[in-house]
This record gives sequence, C-alpha cells and structure tokens, in this order.
Amino acid sequence: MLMLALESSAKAASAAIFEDGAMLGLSVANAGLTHSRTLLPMAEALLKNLDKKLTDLGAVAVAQGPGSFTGLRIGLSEAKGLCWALEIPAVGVSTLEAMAWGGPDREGAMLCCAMDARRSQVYNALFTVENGCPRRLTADRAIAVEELKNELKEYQKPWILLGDGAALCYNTLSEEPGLTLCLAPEPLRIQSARGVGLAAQNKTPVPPEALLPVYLRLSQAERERQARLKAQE
Amino acid sequence: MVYITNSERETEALGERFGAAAADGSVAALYGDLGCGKTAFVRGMARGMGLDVPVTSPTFTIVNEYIGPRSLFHFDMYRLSDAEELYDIGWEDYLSRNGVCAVEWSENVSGAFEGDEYVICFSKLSDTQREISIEGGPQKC
Amino acid sequence: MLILSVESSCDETAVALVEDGRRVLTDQIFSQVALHKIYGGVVPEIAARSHLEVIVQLADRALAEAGVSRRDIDAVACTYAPGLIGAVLVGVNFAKSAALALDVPLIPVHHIRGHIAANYIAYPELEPPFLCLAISGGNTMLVDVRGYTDMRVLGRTRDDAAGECFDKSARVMGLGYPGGKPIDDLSQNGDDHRYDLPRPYVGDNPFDMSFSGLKTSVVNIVHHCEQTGEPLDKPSLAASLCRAVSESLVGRTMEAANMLGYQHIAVAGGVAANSRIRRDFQTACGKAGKTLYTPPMCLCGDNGAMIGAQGYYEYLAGTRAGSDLNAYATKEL
Repeated sequence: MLMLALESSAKAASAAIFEDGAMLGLSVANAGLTHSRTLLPMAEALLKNLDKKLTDLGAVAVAQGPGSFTGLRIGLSEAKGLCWALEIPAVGVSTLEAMAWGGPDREGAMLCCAMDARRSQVYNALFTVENGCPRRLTADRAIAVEELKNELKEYQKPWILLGDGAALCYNTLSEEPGLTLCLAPEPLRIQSARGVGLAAQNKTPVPPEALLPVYLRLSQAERERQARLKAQE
Repeated sequence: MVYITNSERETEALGERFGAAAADGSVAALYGDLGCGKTAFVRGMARGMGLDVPVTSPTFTIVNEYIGPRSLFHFDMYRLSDAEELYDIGWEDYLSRNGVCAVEWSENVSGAFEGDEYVICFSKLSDTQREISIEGGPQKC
Repeated sequence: MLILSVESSCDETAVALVEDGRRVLTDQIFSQVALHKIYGGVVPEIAARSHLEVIVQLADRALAEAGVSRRDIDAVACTYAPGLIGAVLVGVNFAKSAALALDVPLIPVHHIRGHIAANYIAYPELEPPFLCLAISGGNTMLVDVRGYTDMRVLGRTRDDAAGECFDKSARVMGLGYPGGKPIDDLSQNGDDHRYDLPRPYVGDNPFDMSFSGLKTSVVNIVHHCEQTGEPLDKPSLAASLCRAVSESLVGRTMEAANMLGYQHIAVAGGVAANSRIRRDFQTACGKAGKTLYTPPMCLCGDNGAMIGAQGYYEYLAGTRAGSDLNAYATKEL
C-alpha cells in the first residue's frame, strides 16, 4: 500500500512516500519559508521522481500535534484535501511519537522527545526502545522543564534528547546530579515525515473528517498555578 | 509614565514615539473602553515603526498584519471572550515572528500575557482629552 | 463549467458548487444550525472559526446536496487573501490539495472580489462595468468595477467599518450584538435630526470615509446623559446615527457614480440591510435615473458561492495558482 506522510509541526517541513512500510523517498525543506509554499510541492515532486501518481495512494499520514499552530493547520488541511479528493483514509500520529520513531533505535534506549513551548516549557513525551520500536512511557503533555527533570531522574537511566526543545533541556539540565543526558545525533534529532510514516504503520486509518489537530495547551488552572509560583519568587 | 493627550492627533503622536522605541518581539497590551483612542495610538505606532500603511480597526478581522522593515501585528480582542480563543487564532506563532504585537481590548484575554508586556491604559478625561499610562515591557538584562 | 469553491477567511467556513459563475448548486456555510445536521442529537461545543474541524464535512455535503460527484468538478477556487491567516490557510491548503488530487486547475480568489461577485449571482443580467459599495463585516469600500477582474478602489474607511460603527454604538446604548438590526428597529420611531453627529471628510481623498469619530460621538452623548442625568432619547440617537452613516455612504457613492458616469450601482454587504441606507439609495438612484442592485442577505455575509462566482471569471481571465499557493492576511484588491 502506498502512503504519503506529511510533517509540518515545526520549522522544517517534510514529505515522505512509503510502500508497504518501507520508505521510498523523503524530502525536507528548512529554509524558513512557510510550509504552505513548500509542503505540497515536495509531495508532488517526490511522487513524480518515484514514478508514482497521487491516485496510487492508499492513505495519507500526517503529524497532528503538538507543535506550531499554523504549521499543523497546513499539514492537516492538505491531508484532508488529498484524502477527501482521492476518497482514501488518513492516519494521524502524534508529533512526538513520530519523532521517537525517527530517532535512535538502539535496544533499551530512553528517548525524551521535547519541543520548545515557550516560558521554559516543552511539549514532551517519553519513550523506550523495545524490539526495535519506541514504546510509550508517558502521554503527550506540556510540562515545565523543571518538572520534567524530576521525572527523568526517577528512571535512573541515561536519556537521549530529541526535538527542537532538546537543546533547551540539555542546557538547563546537563549539570543536574543524578541525570545523564545526551543529544541525539543531529540527523535523527528533529521530527520528519520519515518518523510519521513509520509511526503510522500500525495505526488505524480514519476518514479525513475525523482528523483533528492536537495543540496541547497548558490548562488555565496550570497557568494560574505557574503565575502564583512566579509571583512568589 | 502617564501622558495626557488633547486630540486624536496627539494620541497618534504618542503612539508614534512609543512605536519607534518599542522592542521587536514585544507585546503591547492596550486597555480602555470604546472611543478612548486605542486604534489611533496603534496608527501612530505603525508610523513610528516606519510602516506607511493604512491602519484600520481589526474588530472584525481580529488581526491586521502590517509588514515592512519592522512588523506590527494589530489585534482586537473585542469579539473574543478568553485567552483560549486568542490561542486559537495563532497567537503563539505571532509571538515568534519578531514583530510588535499590539492588542486592543486586552481585558478580554487576561491570562494570555507572560508578564513582560507593555501595559498601556487609556481613560477618558473629557470628550477630547485622554489619559494614557505606559508601563512594563521586556526587562533588560 | 462547475467550480468547487472554498471560503474560510475569518469566522465562516463554506464550500459551494457554482456553475458558470452564476448558477449556485449549493452553498454549505457552516453554522450552529448546520452542526445539528452533521452530528445529530447532542451537539459538541464547536467554536466559530472551526475551519479544520468542519471543512471535509462541508465538502461532502456540497456534493450530496448538489447531486454531483468529484469527477464533475472542473476547477477548485478558494479565498487566498485577505483575512485571518490561520483561517485562510485552512481553505487554501484544503483547496489546493483537492485540486491537485482531482487534477483540475486551482483558482485563487481575493475575498473582497468575492463580495463584489455576489452581485452576479443575485442579478444574472448584471455585468461590469458598475460601481460597487461593499459594506460587509470588516469592509467598507467603494469600488470601480471596470471588468470582472479589473477593479479600482475609489475609497475606503480610514478607521472603523460602517457596520462596526453600528455594532459598537449599539453596545454602548445597551442594545444587542450584532447592533445593525436593533439600531435600525429603534430608529423607526426617532427624530433623525435630534442629535448632531459629525460627517467627516478625509482630506486627501474625498471618497475615503471615517466612522470612528461618529462612534466616539455616540459614546460621548451616552456618557453625557449618564453623568448629567439627562434622559437619553435612544430612538432619536439611533435615527440620527442611521442618517449620518447613510449620508456618508450614499453621498460618496452617488458622487462617484456621477463623476465616472456609472449607470449601475451595486450595494453589497450586511450594512445594506439598514432601512435608512436602502431608502436613501433608492431615492438617490431614482432621482439620478440610475439602477440599484442590492443582493439578498444570504449573499451578503461571507459565503462560498461568491467565491465560486468570482472564481469563474478569474478562470476565464487566466488566473491560476500552483501547489505552492500561500495565504495572505493583507492583499490589495
């Protein structure tokens, strides 16, 4: 089954083509242009270069969030447009899970996926690699780096950091006693359509109208708690 | 700092001085009732930022974008009810575009700001006279 | 030629199917009412501007209501500017992907051009050139429509939109939102000369308009009465306001029509529903021997059909976009 994977949750946009779970091609654009100008042309070019047609597609996989409000809308709208027109289903995957799938796959590796969410917070989820696949340890959440620190320590294992929030976590926590952190190798650090395609393989496709963004905001109560803590400083 | 303006033109001039001095990447939260001169102030801001574009009320459009050598994003929360709605129009993405975000009717979205915004309060002293206070802003390290 | 058109520039999301620019097969505009039909029974809390959440359903319903299939679609048109960027992007990216997958041309449409094109749907015999006053939502614009894709803005508001003036005046007078209808209703029993409201002329362009001073005057009058205890004659304030707005709009439009020698004048937009404005236009056009066009309300708000109408003429003029089409918050007409 031929699948198009789209990723537009952060600064870079990417598209990938998978056939029966194996990646045929990947295209990444990271020049600061809006994804609205780059994402679909990349998908179009990829198909052409791989000698495939849009009508050959059986599904479109896309990162649903968390991530950039605007970026996610572009990817999701494009996925919906393609699926609606081609009458094929969509597969939505978590940005963080896709990030883990695209990351290091050493058995037993502990993966900390983090996206910068402003105000010293990150969108985050934790995974461990089991039988070559990432297994979720936590749900996706928005969390203060300070709070994440305590959770990471509890596992008493070294962590590999991924995502555009990796540097923030590393810089804030690298001196922390009882915590061993390293940044994932650069080519594997940032989420891409490759990870989306891999993560989508064992997910249930849905009709395109069921595909929804997952923005992951801090709740109002949490914001107020943070404001109170800040006022006490 | 508290300022008194006696006409729309003076309010614009105050906005112009503020716009020239406002830091890129900052937020200016405007508070004040109908007809207090908020849009006139932002019109001045645009001029002070070197933007030669018409500045109109964003009440219906919610956000107007004025792009030039500097960028001014002009928000009007009149039709919005809370900070969640502000997020749903892409507020966080605007914050990372290194322009100045000027927000009218900030009363409606309190809780969305991070504490480093300029707080600009407008009140009416008479039919033509306004009192405008400007506080806050990004802390210099 | 059948065009699938998508509109998502601000509050509304709409998908329409329009034939040859004039015949509307269906216009699926998302609204709370439509929610019941989509979900049936318990309605989830879906806010305005839920473009992403509803666009596929609207496209499906459009095909079903019109009784056509995807293969019948000859082109896809979409609003690409101006508007709320997060909203416009949804329509643009849905439309361009659909166009690519259906292997049909993609036609970008300017939202205000769409509003002007609403006239073509309401009046099949109307063709450019004509003068159009667009007074809907956030727009107050006087446009010289020389051709289907050849337009010139003669004048626009420098500050508040006319409709906004009504909304905010209504609020300060304690009436509902939106304010147009309550003010119109209240004005029926008022004295339109009771209150003296400004009719500003903008210096460098006689066709530009300004309504913010008018709004401020209403606010001042209301506050004065509150402070002094003087009774506020609301019906007369409403009537005076309607007269002031009407004189600004009708006055300039007729001046432009005379100056440019226009026989046909179209007034499109929610504010055109105001009875004073309608009446004044009818009188002025009658006196000057000009023909007045005022589309029905369903075509005056944001809708998909108007985008399909303008899309058709853009198509004929060769306007196309590729898979790299972007959305813009601001764009000249």
